[in-house]
Amino acid sequence: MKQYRDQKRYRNIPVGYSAADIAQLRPMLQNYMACRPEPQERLDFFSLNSYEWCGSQADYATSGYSKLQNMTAGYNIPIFFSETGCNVPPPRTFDDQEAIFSPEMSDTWSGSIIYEYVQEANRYGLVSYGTPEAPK
Amino acid sequence: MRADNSVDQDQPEWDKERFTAYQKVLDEFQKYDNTAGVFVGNEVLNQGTSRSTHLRGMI
Repeated sequence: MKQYRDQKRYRNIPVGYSAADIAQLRPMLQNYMACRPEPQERLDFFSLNSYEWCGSQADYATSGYSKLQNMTAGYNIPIFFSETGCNVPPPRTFDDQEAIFSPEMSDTWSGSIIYEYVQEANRYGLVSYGTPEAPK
Repeated sequence: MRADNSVDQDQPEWDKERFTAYQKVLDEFQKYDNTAGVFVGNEVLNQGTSRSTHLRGMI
């Protein structure tokens, strides 16, 4: 896709991948997709769908985010959270966002996307409008 | 290939048909200066690494 983008002389739109947060796979996958000498063979960014920070009592150490940081410090391409937002147990406090933008993480991670905007049956939404979906 | 063009991670296909479909998405969204980026996949590789070369081929 990067080669296609460049051949067509399109804007240098970043081409990336979003990964599930699977502890046994992710560190290796992170590196496999990024550690190539040729720019066209590696991602422009990597992103993570992380639901590790759960409950209002979690903190940087207990949530697993400190481990995410350890495994990512010094990474060669931009990395960010493409999904965040464990919603059990309620209430959902969004404290993980504070950690992501804190000094421990903000030099490594390029931000965060909340899952998700619209309320659906799995109840991760921030807003609801229109006809509600029936719960599954 | 699945109708919605999603990748079956047990039988991933990076073939002309999928590549063409991806190209069409980029052809369209590159017109907008606020297109921040594109993903070649989301949560494609969730078990094992035998398909990882396929995934990297999509970059």
